[in-house]
Amino acid sequence: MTIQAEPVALEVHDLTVSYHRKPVLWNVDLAVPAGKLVGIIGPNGAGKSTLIKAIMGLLPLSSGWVQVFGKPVDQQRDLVSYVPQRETVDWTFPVTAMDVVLMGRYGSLRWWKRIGRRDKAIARECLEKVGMLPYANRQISNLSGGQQQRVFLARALAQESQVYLMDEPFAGVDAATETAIIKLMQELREAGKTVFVVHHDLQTAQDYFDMLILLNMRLVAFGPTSEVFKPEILQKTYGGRLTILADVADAVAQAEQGAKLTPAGSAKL
Amino acid sequence: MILVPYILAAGFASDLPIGVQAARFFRTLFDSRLEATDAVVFAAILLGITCGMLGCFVVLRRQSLLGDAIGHAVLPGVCAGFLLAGTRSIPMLLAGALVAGVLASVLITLLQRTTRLKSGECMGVVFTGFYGMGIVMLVSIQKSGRGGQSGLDKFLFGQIAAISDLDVKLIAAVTVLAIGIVIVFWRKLAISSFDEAFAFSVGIPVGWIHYLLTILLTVAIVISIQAVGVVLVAAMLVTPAATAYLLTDRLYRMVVLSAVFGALSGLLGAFFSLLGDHLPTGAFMVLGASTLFLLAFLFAPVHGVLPRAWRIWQKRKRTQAENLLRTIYLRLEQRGMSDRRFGVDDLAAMRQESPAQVRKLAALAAKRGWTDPASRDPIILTDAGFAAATQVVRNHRLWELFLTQEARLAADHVHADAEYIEHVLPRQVIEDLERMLDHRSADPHGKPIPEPN
Repeated sequence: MTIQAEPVALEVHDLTVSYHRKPVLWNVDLAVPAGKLVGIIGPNGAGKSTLIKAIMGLLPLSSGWVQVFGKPVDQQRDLVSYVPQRETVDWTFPVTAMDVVLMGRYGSLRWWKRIGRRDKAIARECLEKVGMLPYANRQISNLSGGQQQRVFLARALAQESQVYLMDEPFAGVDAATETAIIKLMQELREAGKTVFVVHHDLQTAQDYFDMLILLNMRLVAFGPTSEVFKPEILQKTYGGRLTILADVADAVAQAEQGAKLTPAGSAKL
Repeated sequence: MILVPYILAAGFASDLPIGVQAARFFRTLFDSRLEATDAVVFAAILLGITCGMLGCFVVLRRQSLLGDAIGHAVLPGVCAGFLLAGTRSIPMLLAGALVAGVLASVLITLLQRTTRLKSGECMGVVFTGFYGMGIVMLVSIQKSGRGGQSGLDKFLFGQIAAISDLDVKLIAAVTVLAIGIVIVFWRKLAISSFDEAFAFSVGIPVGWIHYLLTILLTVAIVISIQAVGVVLVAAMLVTPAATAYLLTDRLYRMVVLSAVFGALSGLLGAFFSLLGDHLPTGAFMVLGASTLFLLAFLFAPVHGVLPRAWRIWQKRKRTQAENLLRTIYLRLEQRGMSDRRFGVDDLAAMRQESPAQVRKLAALAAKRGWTDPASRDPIILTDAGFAAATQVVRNHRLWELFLTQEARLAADHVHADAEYIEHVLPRQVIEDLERMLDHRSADPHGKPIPEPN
């Protein structure tokens, strides 16, 4: 390994998280350089969402610590932005898409300050980036699932953070939204931001991410996608529980022979 | 229906007609000299505002049961306050109530954290337990002989006439405080009610916001129980907020509306309670709130039942008229697009309907300016009617084309589907279809897709 030029955006040291005293995530160590697009993958119940919630401080840690650019996450909240799973909120809440995106500005506002013209301009810009500006004044239950997800992303963009943690942003969205989201993530990376994405689909994981965190209640592997997206590591991560592994192994083999994987998983030559 | 109790109450109260009584009531209200009635009505309105405003957050956080729980749980505190003070000292009673309310909410949180029980069960167990204890204390106080003077029974169902000037000042202070806190903490309340995890992630102390809201709620309940009673106080938190929720899609409007509905309910409750001598105020306030809710449920412009039914009815009529237009357009095509006059019997045969049915459809079309209202047979298509007919046929054929070309359904499978879809396609979708289908000009059956004119 060469000495990394980028600073460490996120460092996780010996992190253990438990629900009702039952550990669900054991002794995770990570040091992620800035400017990477990082996928968090693993089977159901592997602790993917738990990992990012623990990083955000939403769950108590049984042990270990988390640092963002060298300081505890609590002191760096303005540098980190969190995109929860879409189902965790009540979409009948009486707010518009614009209101939700403006919430991204609340963190950086002093409590006596009102939402200003600049905040509104930023919110509009972010809605525009995700293609949701025409829907700015819609009440959020009148949006499709994909549109709701885009609003959540716009809110994260409005925070103007350095590190983004996204919990399953591709869950239940249409193909167009998925493409739009991945493009946005790539733009963030180009701008030097670090993006973490909990992801379910192994087929696309290889194409989307620079680095992968493979989890199964413990850290199975972490590294550049080309180094860790290997049949034996995937086998270890998924513990042979999924038949998809055989397909993926084939896909990997094909990919290593120079074929490009499409989202549908079929190799085109 | 819901007005019946009001009328009964008014009937019992006096021989005067209700209008005269109302006039008197409102005259005293605007009398410059401060009378007892003024203070009481003022208090009822303030209570309504406080409860209505805070109730929005209770409803939006899906904690409606919490208001009920705290309302019932304060009763033993009221009794304990009485026992400690030895008399009906309002500050003592309220202090007792506050302690009991906070204690109950702490217990509920504790149960939730340490057991596998969900919030509903935890609240149910705690508040019924507290309430039972309160009833036992209440009965023993009344048996002890001091009950007559205690007036504690008023706390069960509410008696606003029992409110003193000191109480009114207290209520006013709490209202000002509550409004101030809601304004100052507006953003924090809004964001932590909508998305608690995100609120936490941007550094908002969601735990403290929760406690602040719970304490504010307890205080609001405590100042309300004299007027509304412990049994029904939850309704003042939930019903005005629920009513406002049916009427608007913006948070600040919901809070303002809810406060207004709360104030109106308070006014109505005070009015009917003061008409009769010892009528329970709480019941009338809650009935006032329920009446407003019923009105919103029926007539709310977007979410109301009747406007929705009306819109469905209108859509159905439009659909029927559009179906006639499509038949007319097909006949027009067969004639080479000339002569806009159509015999009723001819159209009836085409549609396999009776001439009477066609005449009914023609009347619907005439109302929309699609056919000439002066001529019933033959039916004469107007320019507007021709444009509408073109659009309907265009939608139908575009959709059929989409189904066969893009969704790859067989041509004989798509007609029935398009029959329905043609009436509901939004403008945006039509534009998308046009782009997707590359502006092709014939449908899967080989018929031309008409251009809009």
